Amino acid sequence: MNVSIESAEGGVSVARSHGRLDFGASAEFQKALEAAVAAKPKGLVVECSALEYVSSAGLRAFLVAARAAKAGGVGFAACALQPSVMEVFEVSGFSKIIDVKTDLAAALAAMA
Amino acid sequence: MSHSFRVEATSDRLPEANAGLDAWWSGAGLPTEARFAFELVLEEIFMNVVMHGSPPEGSPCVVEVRLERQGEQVAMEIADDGLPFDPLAMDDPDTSAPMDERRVGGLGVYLVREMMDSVQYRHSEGRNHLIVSKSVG
Repeated sequence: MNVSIESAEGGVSVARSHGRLDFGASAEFQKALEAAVAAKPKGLVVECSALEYVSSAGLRAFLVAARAAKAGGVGFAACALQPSVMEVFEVSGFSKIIDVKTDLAAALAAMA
Repeated sequence: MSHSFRVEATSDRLPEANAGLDAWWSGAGLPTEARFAFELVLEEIFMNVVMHGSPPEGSPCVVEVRLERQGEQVAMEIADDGLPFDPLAMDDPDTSAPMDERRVGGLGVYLVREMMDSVQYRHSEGRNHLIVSKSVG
């Protein structure tokens, strides 16, 4: 698992996540997203096209980051989820509390 | 033909448990895309045992994973010698609650139930046994 934060157009930050978001990776993932939110971008998009796996520990990290973003007035979205990861988001109800977009362009457009 | 392996229930051994599943899965020639749900179940139950299974004093308990394929059905039994705990007795989380009210407790077990075709629990001979199965065809 690794996550890298980059700046995109319009003051939005993009977190690109790779690999497996399991119990062992969730703390580092959460810290990276919280730091990205604390920098007060207009929005934070978690780009998930290379994210292969997520468990409940990973979902918790998403939830903590999404709450921090909401509290800080920062937009928050996830995009480009692989089918298995999307299934976990849907089954858990997270697709209803986290804005999920089909790809990065759609997520950026929604925050513009 | 069934296969089993044992892993000590500590959080740093989760990758070892997962590697045991992956090795069997590949060897059995099962479709990779169907493995996700079993990896998820193994992590959720293994971490439950790590968090709640071992007595506060004393050595960590041991998880035994047994895998079996019958046609297009894969069955996985996760047994541990920790404190008796029936995960199926837990209340479901409210998956329609708004973000601020969303509680994260119970989410792992809920995923286990939803991602599998069948989930059973029994306590016998001093061990917890969770048996799950799903069609991978």
